[in-house]
Amino acid sequence: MNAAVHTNVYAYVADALTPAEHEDFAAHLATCADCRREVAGLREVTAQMSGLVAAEPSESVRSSVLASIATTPQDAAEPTRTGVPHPANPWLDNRVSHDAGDELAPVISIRRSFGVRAAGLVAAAAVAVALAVGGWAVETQQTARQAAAQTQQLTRLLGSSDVRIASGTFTNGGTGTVVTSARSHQAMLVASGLPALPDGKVYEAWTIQKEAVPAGTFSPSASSSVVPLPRSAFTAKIVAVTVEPAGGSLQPTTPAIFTVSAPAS
Amino acid sequence: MSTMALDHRGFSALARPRVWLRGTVVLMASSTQSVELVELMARIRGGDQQAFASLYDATSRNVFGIVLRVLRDRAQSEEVTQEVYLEAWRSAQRFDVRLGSPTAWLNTIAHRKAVDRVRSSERSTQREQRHFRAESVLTPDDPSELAAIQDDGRRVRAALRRLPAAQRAALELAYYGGRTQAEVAAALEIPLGTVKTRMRDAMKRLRKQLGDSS
Repeated sequence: MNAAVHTNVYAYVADALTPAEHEDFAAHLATCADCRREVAGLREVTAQMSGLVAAEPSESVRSSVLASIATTPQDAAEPTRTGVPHPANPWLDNRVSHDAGDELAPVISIRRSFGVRAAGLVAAAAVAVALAVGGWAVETQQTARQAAAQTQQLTRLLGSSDVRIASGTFTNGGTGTVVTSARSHQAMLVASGLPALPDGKVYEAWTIQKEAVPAGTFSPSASSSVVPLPRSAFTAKIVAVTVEPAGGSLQPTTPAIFTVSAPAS
Repeated sequence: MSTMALDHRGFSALARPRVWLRGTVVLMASSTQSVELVELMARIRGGDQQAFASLYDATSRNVFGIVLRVLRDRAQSEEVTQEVYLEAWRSAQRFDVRLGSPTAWLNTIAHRKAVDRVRSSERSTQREQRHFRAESVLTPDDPSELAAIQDDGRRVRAALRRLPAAQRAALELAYYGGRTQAEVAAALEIPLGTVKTRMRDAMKRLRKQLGDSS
């Protein structure tokens, strides 16, 4: 195995390798985390390329598909094994063992076209969310481990079978998305596009059922912030954000600049 | 409650892996429905057929489109499309959002099945002699398609347009044409090594363009 095998990654994602080259590369993927990351990222590019040639299939395709899945069992989740190319499903060539944990931490940039809705306790008005899982800029060595841990948390959250998402806009132009999974006992607020605050001020999140419960403070210095939310997020009706004095407040002292109905669980 | 300020690194981070970071992957979910698709996947993993129908409705044009582009034959493409979704349903438990978006997942299965089908249905001599379509995807088959292009399509279309012609040709022949690098080399009458380089450069450029514009 020489260094040249890495260069096949581009042909690999384009399915432009010969069968023998393909087998070799699939086996290589099992041993090379860098290539696995490349493959994952490049597959998003090819997905967009495919979008350029979109075409409408006949209605009969839809009915055939739905009829066949009604009588087809789903394969059980299995412990993933690397190094064995899956004959039918190339997606699985890129699988990693669950033990690898944080080895693949995708940055998922999710865009939606901007559509402003009426203000109020409404979820998902317009969202541009950068969920940078793993792509952190850490300022000190100490926070690297924290960042890695939160990376893992958010990744797992997104992979939960009961993940729920609710989004909204901040009055000052930012966007926020609340991501929850009751099964994983995790809830997070991802806020992006928020302007920096003057000295002595901080953003504070709240979960509100009957009254507002403090849910964490944050000071975005770059494009996004990820705020782990407390358990109250699961029973809350509303997640909100206000601007508070540095250090946070026990009760909101200013009007909410962001409110969203908590994702239904 | 601690929080982390994030600096969203673009795709360039992949080229210069940070020592203090493991697993930096930048994925661009192309569809405006990515958030809903992730939610649908969660339900599909629980066997929810309604959710699967919604996934089909959201993605079938892309799946069928790339299969049709590679296969050319509409009837075969519809067959393969059915196979793609059946495979997606069967293997839904193994979909892992860490590995990419639902759109990329379906496209990966679709493109591979289409390429496998086109290679098995044509003997190698036929493929070498087959007249390959010289038109780029930048020339839409149907003028009315121009009207249907959404924002996301515009961005990748513009990125493709910005590629040097030689890179674009190699990439399009390989990806849309379902050809091996060796076949691309033969079709363009250039060395295999040149094809590899052009495909690499083309994909890196596309990735950078699509990453930076997020």
